[in-house]
Amino acid sequence: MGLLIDDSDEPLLPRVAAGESLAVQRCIRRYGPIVWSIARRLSPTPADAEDAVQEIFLDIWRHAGRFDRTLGSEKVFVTLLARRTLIDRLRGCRSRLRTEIPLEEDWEHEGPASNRAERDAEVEEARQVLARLPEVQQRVIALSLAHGMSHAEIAAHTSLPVGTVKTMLRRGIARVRGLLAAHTECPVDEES
Amino acid sequence: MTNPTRDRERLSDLAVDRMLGLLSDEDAAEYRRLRDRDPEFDESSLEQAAAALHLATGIAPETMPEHLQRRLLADGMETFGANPRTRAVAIAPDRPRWQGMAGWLAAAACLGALIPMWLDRPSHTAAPNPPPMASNSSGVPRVAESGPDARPTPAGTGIAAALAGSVAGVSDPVRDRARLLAANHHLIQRAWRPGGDPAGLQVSGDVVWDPASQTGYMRFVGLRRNEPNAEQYQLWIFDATRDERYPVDGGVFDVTGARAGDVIPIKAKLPIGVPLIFAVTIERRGGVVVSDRERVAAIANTT
Repeated sequence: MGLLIDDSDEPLLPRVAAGESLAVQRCIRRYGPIVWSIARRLSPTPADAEDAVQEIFLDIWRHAGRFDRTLGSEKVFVTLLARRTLIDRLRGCRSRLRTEIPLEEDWEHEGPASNRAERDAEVEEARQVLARLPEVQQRVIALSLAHGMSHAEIAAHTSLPVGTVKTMLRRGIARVRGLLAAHTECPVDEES
Repeated sequence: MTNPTRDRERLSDLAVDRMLGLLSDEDAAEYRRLRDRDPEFDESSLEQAAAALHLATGIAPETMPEHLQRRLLADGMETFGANPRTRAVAIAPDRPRWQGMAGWLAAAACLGALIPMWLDRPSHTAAPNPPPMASNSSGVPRVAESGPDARPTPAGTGIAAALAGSVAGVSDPVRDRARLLAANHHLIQRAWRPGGDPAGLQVSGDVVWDPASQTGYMRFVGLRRNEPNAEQYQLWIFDATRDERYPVDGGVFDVTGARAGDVIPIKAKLPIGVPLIFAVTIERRGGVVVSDRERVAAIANTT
């Protein structure tokens, strides 16, 4: 195995926080594609997406020391920071958001039924919650989280009342939160 | 009269809206009021759930543009380069992205072990995806050769890029190198040292590389003159943004033994993000796709 080959799931952020230059490099390789994918969907323009990705990684460098693997996976932590930055950037330019990603294609090919390898336990938990929800609620959640649509935009897209959209989002996220919290409090022994 | 359970549920709802960037001005006031009354409410767990749910919707990772990867790496190196053990970092957000070469150079310190590793690697471990060499198999560049196609992919738009472009058609590497040095304050410039092969035992000189324009020059003094019909020198560039097993082919060249030193333009076959090590090997005429690394004449690393 080469010196810099990153084929493990070992957390990188503690090493980034310690100032390891190679960990920084690996972190970009490991998480850059997912951050870029998210940013493209939650940014008004490709140029904004590029600026956002730079901002996100600066945020990752700043907060790397806060990552605690007992509380969740590194991938979710990075996604959390990415979402936080992107949502902050979207506030105030909500009306400009016009995603260029084809929604139907994205949903059909990358939806919950996707068999992409996903090793993060909490993502798997979330996926199971998502799979048990009514299809329309799954769609509402995806339109909001993955495409950054507003309540009104989702309502127009799905022909649902705005109030229903809000409720579906709130309940869906709260449900995942409750499940993850329960597992954090009673961690499963992965060795058993 | 307040109802803690109901308030908590309402706060959770509003926190979700806020987290999605969808909190209205009216609701924002209510959110702040409820939040102040419930300081133990764990909002970060909602963010974590949203992040997990977001990933669960099935995000397909996408390849970032190469220029963005380079920017991120430069940012990272700059962030940690000045003080590698610093945890808290402070970066001016509007600082030019290509400043701070000292940060870049810090990365090479971590690759010190790479040189012996690369040199020791047996030839049969050839790269499965080696850098292309087709353009090198014929029309091998000589010191005197240059021209519009002599430069690798230009990536920059700064002064150095403009300068490099303006002189690209003129075949005078010595003058072009001097101009590049004079016009650019962010060049990487490192001295050559012997790589172990007898041909390079007396080598000195330097390599200069401008990341913005993707332009560079090698200046050799004391590197043994080669016999072009038998063997030629070949440059390899280790790029921190690429798989370190496969250094980028920097071009095949000959050394004439000019008294003032040979100046040779670098002809990287791929864009270089963060050059860490420049290594010159001796190969058969026309160069090779994958070096067996048996004869290393000169090395310059950025540590």
